[in-house]
Amino acid sequence: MKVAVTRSGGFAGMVRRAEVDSADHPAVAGLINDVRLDEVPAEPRREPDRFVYDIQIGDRSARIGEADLQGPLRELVDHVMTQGS
Amino acid sequence: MRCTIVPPHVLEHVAGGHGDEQVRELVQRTLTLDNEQRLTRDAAQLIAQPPPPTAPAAANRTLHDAGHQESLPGRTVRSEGGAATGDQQVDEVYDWLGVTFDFYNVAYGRNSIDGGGLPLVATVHYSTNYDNAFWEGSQMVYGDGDQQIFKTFTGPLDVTGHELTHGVTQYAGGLDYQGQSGALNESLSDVFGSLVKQYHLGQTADQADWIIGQGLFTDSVHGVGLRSMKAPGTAYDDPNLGKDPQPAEMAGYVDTDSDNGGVHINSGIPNHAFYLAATAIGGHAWEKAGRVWYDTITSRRVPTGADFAMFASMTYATAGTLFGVKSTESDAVRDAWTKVGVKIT
Repeated sequence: MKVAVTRSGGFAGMVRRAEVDSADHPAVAGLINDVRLDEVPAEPRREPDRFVYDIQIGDRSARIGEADLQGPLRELVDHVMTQGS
Repeated sequence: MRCTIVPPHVLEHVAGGHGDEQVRELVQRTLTLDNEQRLTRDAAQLIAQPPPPTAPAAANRTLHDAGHQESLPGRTVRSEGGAATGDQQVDEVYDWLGVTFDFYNVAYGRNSIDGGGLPLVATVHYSTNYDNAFWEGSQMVYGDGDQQIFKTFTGPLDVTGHELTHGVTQYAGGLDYQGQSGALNESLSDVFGSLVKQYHLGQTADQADWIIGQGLFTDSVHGVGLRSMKAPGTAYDDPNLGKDPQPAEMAGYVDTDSDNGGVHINSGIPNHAFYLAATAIGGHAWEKAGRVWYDTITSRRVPTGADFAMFASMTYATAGTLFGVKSTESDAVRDAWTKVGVKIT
Protein backbone atom coordinates (compact mmCIF):
# COMPACT_ATOMS: atom_id res chain seq x y z
CA MET A 1 0.00 0.00 0.00
CA LYS A 2 1.28 3.45 -0.87
CA VAL A 3 1.95 5.73 2.11
CA ALA A 4 2.74 9.36 1.29
CA VAL A 5 3.54 12.35 3.47
CA THR A 6 3.61 15.99 2.35
CA ARG A 7 4.98 18.56 4.77
CA SER A 8 4.27 22.24 4.20
CA GLY A 9 4.63 25.39 6.29
CA GLY A 10 7.44 26.14 8.70
CA PHE A 11 9.45 29.36 8.67
CA ALA A 12 10.90 28.36 5.29
CA GLY A 13 7.47 27.57 3.82
CA MET A 14 8.96 24.83 1.65
CA VAL A 15 7.04 21.74 0.65
CA ARG A 16 8.65 18.34 1.16
CA ARG A 17 7.07 15.10 -0.03
CA ALA A 18 8.05 11.48 0.50
CA GLU A 19 6.36 8.12 -0.04
CA VAL A 20 6.98 4.46 0.56
CA ASP A 21 5.26 1.21 -0.37
CA SER A 22 4.38 -0.57 2.85
CA ALA A 23 5.27 -3.87 1.15
CA ASP A 24 8.93 -2.75 1.23
CA HIS A 25 8.80 -1.35 4.77
CA PRO A 26 7.66 -3.81 7.45
CA ALA A 27 7.80 -1.06 10.09
CA VAL A 28 5.34 1.01 8.07
CA ALA A 29 3.11 -2.01 7.46
CA GLY A 30 2.97 -2.53 11.23
CA LEU A 31 2.30 1.12 12.04
CA ILE A 32 -0.55 1.38 9.53
CA ASN A 33 -2.57 -0.99 11.72
CA ASP A 34 -2.07 1.22 14.78
CA VAL A 35 -2.81 4.53 13.09
CA ARG A 36 -6.31 5.98 13.36
CA LEU A 37 -6.68 8.67 10.70
CA ASP A 38 -10.34 9.11 11.62
CA GLU A 39 -9.27 10.35 15.07
CA VAL A 40 -7.25 13.22 13.64
CA PRO A 41 -8.87 16.62 14.43
CA ALA A 42 -11.12 17.72 11.55
CA GLU A 43 -9.31 21.04 11.18
CA PRO A 44 -5.55 21.35 11.69
CA ARG A 45 -4.47 23.92 14.26
CA ARG A 46 -3.41 27.09 12.50
CA GLU A 47 -0.25 28.25 14.24
CA PRO A 48 2.47 30.49 12.84
CA ASP A 49 5.42 28.71 11.22
CA ARG A 50 4.46 25.24 12.42
CA PHE A 51 4.64 22.36 9.96
CA VAL A 52 1.43 20.99 8.46
CA TYR A 53 1.36 17.34 7.33
CA ASP A 54 -0.84 15.80 4.66
CA ILE A 55 -0.83 12.05 5.17
CA GLN A 56 -2.12 9.56 2.64
CA ILE A 57 -2.46 5.85 3.44
CA GLY A 58 -3.89 4.00 0.44
CA ASP A 59 -7.14 5.80 -0.32
CA ARG A 60 -7.44 7.40 3.13
CA SER A 61 -5.98 10.79 3.93
CA ALA A 62 -5.78 13.35 6.71
CA ARG A 63 -4.23 16.74 7.41
CA ILE A 64 -2.66 17.36 10.79
CA GLY A 65 -0.65 20.10 12.49
CA GLU A 66 2.80 19.38 13.88
CA ALA A 67 1.68 19.92 17.48
CA ASP A 68 -0.98 17.20 17.19
CA LEU A 69 1.28 14.67 15.51
CA GLN A 70 1.97 12.04 18.17
CA GLY A 71 2.12 8.32 18.83
CA PRO A 72 2.09 5.81 15.96
CA LEU A 73 1.16 8.50 13.42
CA ARG A 74 4.26 10.49 14.38
CA GLU A 75 6.38 7.34 14.02
CA LEU A 76 4.84 6.63 10.63
CA VAL A 77 5.47 10.18 9.39
CA ASP A 78 9.06 10.17 10.65
CA HIS A 79 9.70 6.84 8.98
CA VAL A 80 8.29 7.89 5.62
CA MET A 81 10.06 11.27 5.69
CA THR A 82 13.45 9.73 6.48
CA GLN A 83 13.20 6.45 4.53
CA GLY A 84 10.91 7.39 1.66
CA SER A 85 11.71 8.88 -1.69
CA MET B 1 10.89 58.03 44.94
CA ARG B 2 12.17 57.09 48.41
CA CYS B 3 14.54 59.67 49.91
CA THR B 4 15.55 58.02 53.19
CA ILE B 5 19.27 57.48 53.46
CA VAL B 6 19.07 54.19 55.32
CA PRO B 7 17.04 51.74 53.25
CA PRO B 8 13.97 50.31 55.02
CA HIS B 9 15.26 46.73 54.84
CA VAL B 10 18.34 47.75 56.85
CA LEU B 11 16.20 49.50 59.44
CA GLU B 12 13.99 46.43 59.68
CA HIS B 13 17.07 44.32 60.31
CA VAL B 14 18.20 46.61 63.11
CA ALA B 15 14.72 46.84 64.60
CA GLY B 16 14.48 43.08 64.79
CA GLY B 17 17.98 42.27 66.02
CA HIS B 18 19.48 45.11 68.06
CA GLY B 19 20.18 44.28 71.68
CA ASP B 20 19.60 47.80 73.00
CA GLU B 21 15.92 48.24 73.74
CA GLN B 22 16.08 52.02 73.20
CA VAL B 23 17.73 51.70 69.81
CA ARG B 24 15.18 49.11 68.72
CA GLU B 25 12.34 51.34 69.78
CA LEU B 26 13.84 54.35 68.04
CA VAL B 27 14.39 52.46 64.84
CA GLN B 28 10.90 50.98 64.98
CA ARG B 29 9.44 54.50 65.32
CA THR B 30 11.54 55.67 62.38
CA LEU B 31 10.15 52.84 60.29
CA THR B 32 6.60 53.61 61.29
CA LEU B 33 7.09 57.29 60.63
CA ASP B 34 8.76 56.53 57.34
CA ASN B 35 5.85 54.40 56.25
CA GLU B 36 3.36 57.07 57.23
CA GLN B 37 5.32 59.72 55.38
CA ARG B 38 5.62 57.48 52.36
CA LEU B 39 1.89 56.83 52.31
CA THR B 40 1.15 60.53 52.64
CA ARG B 41 3.67 61.35 49.96
CA ASP B 42 2.32 58.67 47.60
CA ALA B 43 -1.24 59.88 48.13
CA ALA B 44 -0.20 63.46 47.44
CA GLN B 45 1.53 62.41 44.26
CA LEU B 46 -1.55 60.53 43.09
CA ILE B 47 -3.54 63.74 43.37
CA ALA B 48 -1.03 66.42 42.50
CA GLN B 49 1.28 64.92 39.88
CA PRO B 50 1.09 63.01 36.65
CA PRO B 51 1.91 59.33 37.03
CA PRO B 52 5.65 58.76 37.50
CA PRO B 53 7.46 57.69 34.34
CA THR B 54 7.50 53.93 34.00
CA ALA B 55 10.81 52.23 34.68
CA PRO B 56 13.06 52.20 31.61
CA ALA B 57 12.13 49.22 29.47
CA ALA B 58 14.71 46.45 29.61
CA ALA B 59 14.72 42.98 28.13
CA ASN B 60 14.23 40.03 30.47
CA ARG B 61 15.61 37.04 28.63
CA THR B 62 15.77 33.39 29.63
CA LEU B 63 17.40 30.79 27.39
CA HIS B 64 16.68 27.07 27.61
CA ASP B 65 18.24 24.01 26.02
CA ALA B 66 15.87 21.26 24.86
CA GLY B 67 18.80 18.84 24.50
CA HIS B 68 17.39 17.68 21.11
CA GLN B 69 14.17 16.55 22.80
CA GLU B 70 10.79 18.19 22.27
CA SER B 71 9.60 19.13 25.73
CA LEU B 72 9.48 22.85 26.42
CA PRO B 73 11.00 24.94 27.75
CA GLY B 74 13.89 22.60 28.63
CA ARG B 75 16.89 23.17 30.91
CA THR B 76 17.61 26.81 31.83
CA VAL B 77 21.06 27.74 30.54
CA ARG B 78 21.23 31.55 30.61
CA SER B 79 19.22 34.25 32.35
CA GLU B 80 19.15 38.03 31.87
CA GLY B 81 22.55 39.53 32.58
CA GLY B 82 24.21 36.12 32.75
CA ALA B 83 27.60 35.52 31.14
CA ALA B 84 27.91 34.02 27.67
CA THR B 85 27.69 30.23 27.82
CA GLY B 86 30.01 29.33 24.95
CA ASP B 87 27.10 27.51 23.28
CA GLN B 88 26.82 29.39 19.99
CA GLN B 89 23.08 28.90 19.59
CA VAL B 90 22.30 30.02 23.12
CA ASP B 91 24.47 33.13 22.86
CA GLU B 92 23.25 34.09 19.37
CA VAL B 93 19.62 33.93 20.42
CA TYR B 94 20.35 35.84 23.62
CA ASP B 95 21.86 38.64 21.52
CA TRP B 96 19.15 38.61 18.83
CA LEU B 97 16.36 38.72 21.40
CA GLY B 98 18.09 41.79 22.84
CA VAL B 99 18.40 43.50 19.46
CA THR B 100 14.75 42.79 18.61
CA PHE B 101 13.64 44.06 22.01
CA ASP B 102 15.67 47.27 21.51
CA PHE B 103 14.29 47.72 18.00
CA TYR B 104 10.66 47.66 19.12
CA ASN B 105 11.45 49.81 22.13
CA VAL B 106 13.50 52.48 20.35
CA ALA B 107 11.62 52.57 17.04
CA TYR B 108 8.05 52.32 18.35
CA GLY B 109 8.23 52.73 22.14
CA ARG B 110 6.98 49.17 22.60
CA ASN B 111 8.06 47.45 25.81
CA SER B 112 8.52 43.85 24.65
CA ILE B 113 6.21 41.63 22.63
CA ASP B 114 3.03 42.42 24.52
CA GLY B 115 3.84 46.08 25.16
CA GLY B 116 3.88 45.28 28.87
CA GLY B 117 7.40 43.96 29.43
CA LEU B 118 6.73 40.32 28.66
CA PRO B 119 9.79 38.20 29.55
CA LEU B 120 11.46 36.76 26.46
CA VAL B 121 11.76 33.01 26.70
CA ALA B 122 13.51 30.90 24.09
CA THR B 123 14.50 27.27 23.66
CA VAL B 124 17.34 26.14 21.40
CA HIS B 125 18.50 22.67 20.27
CA TYR B 126 14.86 21.64 19.79
CA SER B 127 14.34 18.14 18.38
CA THR B 128 16.85 16.62 15.93
CA ASN B 129 17.72 17.92 12.47
CA TYR B 130 14.85 20.34 12.98
CA ASP B 131 14.55 22.73 10.02
CA ASN B 132 12.47 25.37 11.70
CA ALA B 133 11.99 28.10 14.25
CA PHE B 134 8.62 29.14 15.59
CA TRP B 135 6.75 31.31 18.08
CA GLU B 136 4.87 28.84 20.24
CA GLY B 137 2.37 31.37 21.61
CA SER B 138 4.41 32.27 24.67
CA GLN B 139 8.01 31.50 23.75
CA MET B 140 10.49 31.07 20.90
CA VAL B 141 11.70 27.68 19.70
CA TYR B 142 14.73 27.04 17.45
CA GLY B 143 16.00 23.97 15.65
CA ASP B 144 19.65 23.32 14.76
CA GLY B 145 18.81 22.64 11.10
CA ASP B 146 19.75 19.47 9.25
CA GLN B 147 23.15 20.95 8.20
CA GLN B 148 22.59 19.58 4.67
CA ILE B 149 20.19 22.28 3.46
CA PHE B 150 19.68 24.46 6.52
CA LYS B 151 22.18 25.72 9.03
CA THR B 152 21.01 26.55 12.53
CA PHE B 153 17.93 28.79 12.70
CA THR B 154 19.54 30.79 15.48
CA GLY B 155 22.00 32.37 13.03
CA PRO B 156 20.16 35.08 11.05
CA LEU B 157 18.81 37.99 13.11
CA ASP B 158 15.74 38.33 10.91
CA VAL B 159 14.57 34.82 11.88
CA THR B 160 14.28 35.98 15.50
CA GLY B 161 12.73 39.29 14.38
CA HIS B 162 10.23 37.36 12.26
CA GLU B 163 9.21 34.98 15.02
CA LEU B 164 8.90 37.59 17.79
CA THR B 165 6.75 39.66 15.44
CA HIS B 166 4.30 36.74 15.32
CA GLY B 167 4.03 37.42 19.04
CA VAL B 168 3.51 41.15 18.48
CA THR B 169 0.77 40.43 15.93
CA GLN B 170 -0.83 37.98 18.36
CA TYR B 171 -0.89 40.54 21.19
CA ALA B 172 -2.08 43.27 18.81
CA GLY B 173 -5.26 41.27 18.20
CA GLY B 174 -4.09 38.66 15.74
CA LEU B 175 -4.58 37.79 12.10
CA ASP B 176 -6.13 34.40 11.24
CA TYR B 177 -3.34 32.18 10.03
CA GLN B 178 -4.89 31.15 6.72
CA GLY B 179 -5.46 32.63 3.29
CA GLN B 180 -4.91 36.38 2.84
CA SER B 181 -5.06 37.25 6.56
CA GLY B 182 -2.49 34.50 7.15
CA ALA B 183 -0.28 35.86 4.36
CA LEU B 184 -0.54 39.32 5.99
CA ASN B 185 0.47 37.76 9.31
CA GLU B 186 3.50 36.21 7.58
CA SER B 187 4.31 39.43 5.73
CA LEU B 188 4.29 41.51 8.93
CA SER B 189 6.81 39.07 10.38
CA ASP B 190 9.01 39.39 7.29
CA VAL B 191 8.65 43.20 7.24
CA PHE B 192 9.66 43.70 10.87
CA GLY B 193 12.18 40.84 10.72
CA SER B 194 13.92 42.70 7.90
CA LEU B 195 13.56 46.04 9.71
CA VAL B 196 15.21 44.65 12.86
CA LYS B 197 18.17 43.64 10.71
CA GLN B 198 18.27 47.01 8.93
CA TYR B 199 18.09 48.80 12.31
CA HIS B 200 20.92 46.65 13.66
CA LEU B 201 23.10 47.37 10.61
CA GLY B 202 22.08 51.03 10.43
CA GLN B 203 20.98 50.63 6.83
CA THR B 204 18.75 52.88 4.75
CA ALA B 205 16.08 51.37 2.49
CA ASP B 206 18.34 51.50 -0.57
CA GLN B 207 21.24 49.85 1.31
CA ALA B 208 19.23 46.91 2.69
CA ASP B 209 19.22 43.50 0.95
CA TRP B 210 15.51 42.89 1.72
CA ILE B 211 16.28 39.16 1.89
CA ILE B 212 14.65 36.98 4.54
CA GLY B 213 16.87 34.24 5.96
CA GLN B 214 20.15 35.32 4.38
CA GLY B 215 22.80 32.93 5.73
CA LEU B 216 20.34 30.16 6.60
CA PHE B 217 21.17 27.90 3.63
CA THR B 218 24.31 25.80 3.59
CA ASP B 219 26.78 26.45 0.77
CA SER B 220 25.31 23.50 -1.15
CA VAL B 221 22.09 25.42 -1.92
CA HIS B 222 21.76 27.76 -4.88
CA GLY B 223 20.09 30.73 -3.25
CA VAL B 224 20.67 33.92 -1.27
CA GLY B 225 17.92 33.23 1.27
CA LEU B 226 14.32 32.10 1.64
CA ARG B 227 12.41 35.12 0.39
CA SER B 228 13.15 38.39 -1.35
CA MET B 229 10.96 41.39 -0.57
CA LYS B 230 12.67 43.33 -3.33
CA ALA B 231 12.09 40.67 -5.98
CA PRO B 232 9.76 37.93 -4.71
CA GLY B 233 10.30 34.64 -6.53
CA THR B 234 14.07 35.10 -6.98
CA ALA B 235 15.54 34.15 -3.58
CA TYR B 236 16.56 30.63 -4.60
CA ASP B 237 16.55 28.36 -7.62
CA ASP B 238 18.04 25.01 -6.70
CA PRO B 239 18.11 21.57 -8.34
CA ASN B 240 16.88 19.90 -5.12
CA LEU B 241 14.67 22.58 -3.61
CA GLY B 242 13.14 23.97 -6.78
CA LYS B 243 12.48 27.65 -7.32
CA ASP B 244 11.25 30.31 -4.89
CA PRO B 245 7.46 30.24 -5.48
CA GLN B 246 6.58 33.73 -4.24
CA PRO B 247 4.52 36.08 -6.41
CA ALA B 248 5.17 39.84 -6.32
CA GLU B 249 1.70 40.86 -7.54
CA MET B 250 -1.95 39.83 -7.17
CA ALA B 251 -1.92 38.45 -10.73
CA GLY B 252 0.37 35.70 -9.41
CA TYR B 253 -1.66 34.92 -6.24
CA VAL B 254 -1.42 31.18 -5.55
CA ASP B 255 -4.58 29.31 -4.54
CA THR B 256 -3.51 26.24 -2.58
CA ASP B 257 -4.60 24.06 0.32
CA SER B 258 -1.13 23.47 1.67
CA ASP B 259 0.72 25.77 4.07
CA ASN B 260 -2.61 27.08 5.46
CA GLY B 261 -3.50 28.42 2.04
CA GLY B 262 -0.03 29.41 0.93
CA VAL B 263 0.66 31.91 3.71
CA HIS B 264 4.44 31.73 3.07
CA ILE B 265 3.89 32.07 -0.70
CA ASN B 266 1.38 34.89 -1.04
CA SER B 267 3.13 36.96 1.63
CA GLY B 268 5.35 37.97 -1.30
CA ILE B 269 2.63 40.41 -2.43
CA PRO B 270 2.34 42.54 0.74
CA ASN B 271 6.10 42.09 1.26
CA HIS B 272 6.78 43.70 -2.09
CA ALA B 273 4.27 46.48 -1.40
CA PHE B 274 6.17 47.36 1.77
CA TYR B 275 9.49 47.31 -0.09
CA LEU B 276 8.09 49.65 -2.77
CA ALA B 277 6.67 52.07 -0.19
CA ALA B 278 9.85 52.06 1.92
CA THR B 279 12.22 52.63 -1.00
CA ALA B 280 9.99 55.35 -2.49
CA ILE B 281 9.99 57.18 0.86
CA GLY B 282 13.71 56.57 1.42
CA GLY B 283 15.83 56.85 4.55
CA HIS B 284 15.57 54.35 7.41
CA ALA B 285 12.62 52.14 6.49
CA TRP B 286 11.56 51.58 10.10
CA GLU B 287 11.01 55.30 10.68
CA LYS B 288 8.23 56.04 8.19
CA ALA B 289 7.00 53.00 6.22
CA GLY B 290 7.63 50.81 9.27
CA ARG B 291 5.77 53.30 11.50
CA VAL B 292 2.78 53.21 9.13
CA TRP B 293 2.64 49.40 9.18
CA TYR B 294 3.26 49.26 12.95
CA ASP B 295 0.58 51.83 13.81
CA THR B 296 -1.86 50.01 11.52
CA ILE B 297 -1.40 46.55 13.04
CA THR B 298 -1.42 47.87 16.62
CA SER B 299 -4.46 50.11 16.06
CA ARG B 300 -6.78 47.27 17.16
CA ARG B 301 -8.93 48.12 14.15
CA VAL B 302 -7.62 45.40 11.83
CA PRO B 303 -10.13 42.52 11.77
CA THR B 304 -8.57 39.10 12.35
CA GLY B 305 -9.81 38.02 8.93
CA ALA B 306 -8.56 41.12 7.06
CA ASP B 307 -7.68 40.64 3.40
CA PHE B 308 -4.96 42.46 1.45
CA ALA B 309 -7.27 45.24 0.19
CA MET B 310 -8.58 46.01 3.67
CA PHE B 311 -5.11 46.09 5.22
CA ALA B 312 -3.81 48.20 2.33
CA SER B 313 -6.60 50.74 2.78
CA MET B 314 -5.85 50.91 6.50
CA THR B 315 -2.13 51.55 5.90
CA TYR B 316 -3.08 54.35 3.51
CA ALA B 317 -5.37 55.85 6.15
CA THR B 318 -2.60 55.55 8.75
CA ALA B 319 -0.11 57.27 6.44
CA GLY B 320 -2.63 60.10 6.00
CA THR B 321 -2.99 60.49 9.76
CA LEU B 322 0.78 60.43 10.35
CA PHE B 323 2.02 62.48 7.43
CA GLY B 324 -1.02 64.12 5.80
CA VAL B 325 -3.35 62.85 3.09
CA LYS B 326 -1.49 64.66 0.33
CA SER B 327 2.00 63.84 1.64
CA THR B 328 4.66 62.03 -0.36
CA GLU B 329 4.50 59.26 2.27
CA SER B 330 0.77 58.71 1.68
CA ASP B 331 1.30 58.73 -2.07
CA ALA B 332 4.13 56.20 -1.73
CA VAL B 333 1.92 53.83 0.26
CA ARG B 334 -0.96 54.12 -2.21
CA ASP B 335 1.32 53.69 -5.24
CA ALA B 336 3.05 50.68 -3.67
CA TRP B 337 -0.21 48.77 -3.19
CA THR B 338 -1.41 49.81 -6.64
CA LYS B 339 1.78 48.45 -8.23
CA VAL B 340 1.26 45.01 -6.67
CA GLY B 341 -2.34 44.96 -7.88
CA VAL B 342 -4.09 45.62 -4.56
CA LYS B 343 -6.80 48.24 -4.85
CA ILE B 344 -7.19 50.73 -2.04
CA THR B 345 -10.85 51.40 -1.30
